Amino acid sequence: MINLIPPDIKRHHKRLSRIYSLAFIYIAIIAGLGFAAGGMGIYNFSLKSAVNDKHTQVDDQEKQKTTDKELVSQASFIEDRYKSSPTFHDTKKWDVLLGQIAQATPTNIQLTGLQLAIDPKKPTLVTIKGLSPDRRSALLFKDKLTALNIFISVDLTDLTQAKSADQTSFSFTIQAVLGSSTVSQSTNDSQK
Amino acid sequence: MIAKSKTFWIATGLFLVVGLGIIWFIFPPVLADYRSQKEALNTLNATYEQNKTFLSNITKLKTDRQSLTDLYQSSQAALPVKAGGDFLLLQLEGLTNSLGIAGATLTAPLPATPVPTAPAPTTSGSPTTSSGDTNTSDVKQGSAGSSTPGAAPTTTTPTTAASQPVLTFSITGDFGFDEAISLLVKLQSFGRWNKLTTFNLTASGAKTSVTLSAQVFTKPLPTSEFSGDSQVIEKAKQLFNSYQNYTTTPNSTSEGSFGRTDPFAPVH
Repeated sequence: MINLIPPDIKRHHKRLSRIYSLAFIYIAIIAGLGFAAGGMGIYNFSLKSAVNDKHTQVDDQEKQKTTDKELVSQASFIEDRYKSSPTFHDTKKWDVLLGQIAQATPTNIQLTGLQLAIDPKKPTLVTIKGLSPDRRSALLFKDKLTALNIFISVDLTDLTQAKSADQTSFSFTIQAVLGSSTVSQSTNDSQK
Repeated sequence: MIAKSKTFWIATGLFLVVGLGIIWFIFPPVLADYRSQKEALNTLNATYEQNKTFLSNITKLKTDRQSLTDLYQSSQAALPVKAGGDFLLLQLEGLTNSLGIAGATLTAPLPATPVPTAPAPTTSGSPTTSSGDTNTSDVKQGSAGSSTPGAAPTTTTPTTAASQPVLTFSITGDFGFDEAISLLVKLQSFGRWNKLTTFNLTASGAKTSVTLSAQVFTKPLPTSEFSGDSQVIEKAKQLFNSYQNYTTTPNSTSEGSFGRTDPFAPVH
């Protein structure tokens, strides 16, 4: 078959068809971009109405919250006090400490004084005064207190012979520095 | 060649102008709007869920209103907003009575009444009163060591400063080691939170005397809102129910009898 179309016209047709195809691609891309923008706009609109709905719901909830103002303020007070408990409440079991000192006291020693000086910023100083029939018992007492492992240090600060008409005794003073939190720990131990 | 075509260049130019225009001018605000809406929705959803839990917990608390009120009163007693030294004395009196420590002397500071400063007329020859700045009230349940059971507590009131965040009270008496230990145990479960500051036990012969001082505290009303955590209330119940109050708050509307024709006449 003989192609009678002149080559110029053929080339022109080819070029036109390429331009059309390209224009079609351009239009498709533009349309795609347009649709995407439009779609997002519509989605944003629905999102906006969802936000408004949620806003209304939250506002209703806030209103409900204010209706029980007294109850809420009471609950808030209780919560605050509960959380303040460790700061404002003594957690140390001083009775346990006294019990331990009593347990460590030799049977031939009489205590004449027991003093606790408690300062939150410093370790507690325990001063124990007593009468012992001999020096050895006073030292034994000191050693027994050390063996309790609740004191940072235990020192015999005074041991004086006190002679009375019928017998000889020794007055002594022991000073012990209590380790922090050891009293509460010893409570747990005693509970075990 | 297509590059030689004018139409091609016009179409391409138009495409670029429109395409870039859409990308440059339309997309950014749409995307920003999307992002902000999504963020707002997420925040609102979280708030909604939080409020939902909060309200359901509040509903639960409402069903057991009495228990919450009791808990509120216990927490108020443990760490009150006002010092309340006077009520503290009543509580301590109840505590020492429960232990049967008859000779205990209780001391706690009482607040001074703030008097507004007004120009006072000068009276010549009137006695000048010097006032300190703390009121301390001593309630002596009988005198120390004395055996006068049922003796009315003596109250002495030295003077002083207004509200103090920390009050130091003391209990002094002639009682033994066992009573001292019981007192320490009772102070741990005492309805008003306290911290022991000094403890002094001295024995001379058969007589033992104990002096104990401790601090009680005050705290202003909370500024934070209730978190809505029902677990906290349950834990608070466990904590506050372990404390013991040895007296009730005086209520002049329901107790006592009032009205005397001559209030200066001796009471029989």
